[in-house]
Amino acid sequence: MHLMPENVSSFGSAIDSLVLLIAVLTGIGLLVAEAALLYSAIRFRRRPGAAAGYIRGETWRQLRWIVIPVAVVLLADLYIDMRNHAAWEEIKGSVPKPDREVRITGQQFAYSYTYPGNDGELGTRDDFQTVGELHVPVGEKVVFYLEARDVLHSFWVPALRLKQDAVPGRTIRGWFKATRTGRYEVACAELCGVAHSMMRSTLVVDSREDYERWLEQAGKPALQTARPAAAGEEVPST
Amino acid sequence: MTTIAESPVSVTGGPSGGPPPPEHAAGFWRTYVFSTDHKVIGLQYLVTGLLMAAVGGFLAYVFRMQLAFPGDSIPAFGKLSAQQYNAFVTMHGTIMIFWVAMPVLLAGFANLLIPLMIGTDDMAFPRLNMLSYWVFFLSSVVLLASFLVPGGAFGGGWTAYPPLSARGQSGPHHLATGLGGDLWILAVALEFVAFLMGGINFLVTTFNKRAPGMTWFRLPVAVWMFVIAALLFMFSVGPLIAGALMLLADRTLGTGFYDPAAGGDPILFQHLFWFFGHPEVYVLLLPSVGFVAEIFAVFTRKPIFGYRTIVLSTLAAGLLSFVVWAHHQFIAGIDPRMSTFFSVTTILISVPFALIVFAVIATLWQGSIRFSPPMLFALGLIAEFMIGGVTGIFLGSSAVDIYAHDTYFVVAHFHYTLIPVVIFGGLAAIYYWYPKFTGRMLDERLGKVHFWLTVVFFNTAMLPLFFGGLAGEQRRIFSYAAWPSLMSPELQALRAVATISTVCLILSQILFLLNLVRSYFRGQPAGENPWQANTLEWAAASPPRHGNFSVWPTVYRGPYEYSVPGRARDWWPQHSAS
Repeated sequence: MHLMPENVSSFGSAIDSLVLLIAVLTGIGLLVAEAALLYSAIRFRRRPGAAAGYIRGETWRQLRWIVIPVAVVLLADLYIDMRNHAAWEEIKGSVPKPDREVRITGQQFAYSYTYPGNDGELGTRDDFQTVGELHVPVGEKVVFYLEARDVLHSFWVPALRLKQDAVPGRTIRGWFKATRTGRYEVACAELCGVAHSMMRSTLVVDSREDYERWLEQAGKPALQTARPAAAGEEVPST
Repeated sequence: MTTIAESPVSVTGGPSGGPPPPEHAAGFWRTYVFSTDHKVIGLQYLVTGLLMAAVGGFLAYVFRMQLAFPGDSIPAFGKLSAQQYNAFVTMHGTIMIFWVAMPVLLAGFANLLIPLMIGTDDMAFPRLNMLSYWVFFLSSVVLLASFLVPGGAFGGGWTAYPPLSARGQSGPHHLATGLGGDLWILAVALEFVAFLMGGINFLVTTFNKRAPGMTWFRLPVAVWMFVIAALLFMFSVGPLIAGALMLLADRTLGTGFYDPAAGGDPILFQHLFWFFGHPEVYVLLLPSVGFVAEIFAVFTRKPIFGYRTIVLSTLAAGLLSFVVWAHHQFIAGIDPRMSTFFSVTTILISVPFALIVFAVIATLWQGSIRFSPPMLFALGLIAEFMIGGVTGIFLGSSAVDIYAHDTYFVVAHFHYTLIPVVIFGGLAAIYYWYPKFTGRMLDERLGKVHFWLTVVFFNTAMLPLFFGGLAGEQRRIFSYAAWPSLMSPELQALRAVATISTVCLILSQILFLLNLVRSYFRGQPAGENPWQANTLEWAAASPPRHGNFSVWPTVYRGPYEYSVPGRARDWWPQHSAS
């Protein structure tokens, strides 16, 4: 049984292995500590005739019984910090040179996606937009520019191990590389209003061929003016 | 540390020469309602906090039912709307933190215990103390009233992140909580005024009114914890009050502190909120650490292991708690380079807390442990809190937090820290000090049943949430219908288990209420010192008279001299000269 959904991003395995590492280290520590608690409590339960010891724990001879375990905790902490730093740098340290770019806009209560048209550049006349589905090609580095129109949102794709708040007034740059084709759930993870729990979307990871085919369809100038937002997915204007 | 041994010192502001004045009767209103007696005020805080806990618990019942059985009519409530869901989640968090944990653990018990434990007649500023409670009472009324205004209670989350919280009144933003939001801010502000007055009192009283011979390192750990908690609160609350005022101005005066269109920045609020919010976690935690120390010493019949280590670790953790706040914001859009610093400080804060927890466990060694209800709850607190502690390491790791942030993993984690601290800690303290303030013992057998039911249902209510979080389940969602993978039969079954357990956990508390009421009339008379404890509150009558002591105590030794070799009795009260 998998506790987490299957990972389909290039950097997701760094997060997953960190989860495993922390689970093992803290799991062992927790078991030892709980066992010590339970054992001491049962072994030293009150019995007639047996007096308690007088141990103040103010000398090093006594304190080492807790200081040494804490030193072990500290070492484990530092190791986790180190591994965490490496994973964080891989994911967030720098944004790689993009193969594709997309602008993601969150607003109550939908995400819309703006793609560069044939010229490959965002912010030009041939940009086109979709609502409800984000299409990306598999195996390519996608750089996104995340924005919010009204309130905070958080772009959340569990399968990609990707979550990033969208903040009004800021454009937050990030990236991912999907490693497997398929359709994956997208959610908003930051409370954004009454219909927060309706703010869903789909990430469609296409093969290179499928993606080119989709691009040709979706990027057509006719559709561009019509803005392919299906009925029911109308974005409320602000 | 220099200790003032057998020679009593005169302490400024303490009970000055002469025997305590004879008790005089005041009228009903001055005795029970507008009282300046720290014990009455402490009980007022305690009872108000317990009543608010019933409200917070009911809200949890309602929204948990919605999650387990989406769309069904909820017994004793009816159908829940999405707007109500947001409001109930928001108010549950607000109430449990600010109107239960704070008044019960800190305001309630610090008021009850500080003057008694340091051996004086009352707080330094008794009238300010009374004002503190009545401002708090007013804040509770304002908060509850917000349920009744048009649009209902505030639904922007207990963290109240703008712009959602700032634009409460404008239509397009779908937050139909105009007045409710304003009342929410007003209530929080009033409450902080109350706790500031209380905090000043705790500090001034402890600094100036200690009994002769009561040096700092003869203070019970509980008093240290109240003092450090009050300091943390007072040093951290300023930025939050500033943040709340700006939020109120954005809502009502049309300013734009958090509105990017007007040159503001929504993330500013998050910094101000969490600069307070993280120390606040320790404001709640520390009183319970104090309760555990008192109870462990008495029920193991041993000195608490490493008294100074515990106090110094707490001071270190308190300082560190001011430089961890941005771990709540790893993915909020702050500069990624900042995260490493906050990730390291966050994970390092486990070191002082590991020292404290290990010292407490070490206290058991060679003890003569009696498993009365206070000890059971204190043991339960430590056992469960460790789960909350280690799961915090996952979230403190900024990379893992990308995945876990704003999921039920976070919800499970903080309930594993707060429920042990607030519920287990609060119950341990009530079981332990009830005889002192009522003169009667609680029923021990009923207490044990209550403990085991609480432990079992707490775990079955909260463990499932970790798995929901790992599966990717995001927080504050009214219905998961939009995400097929989150509506899987397995996840839905987990939600039902958590909900049914929550209901059982709430119902189990009825046993406790019964015990409280029945023992008040029929409990065994407690006498002055039923647990054979050392600290000064047990030198007073049960319940203590107005002015606390009939003879001013002088302190001759530390608080935890249990089972001292060569003595006939296994306890040695602080005030006993020989």
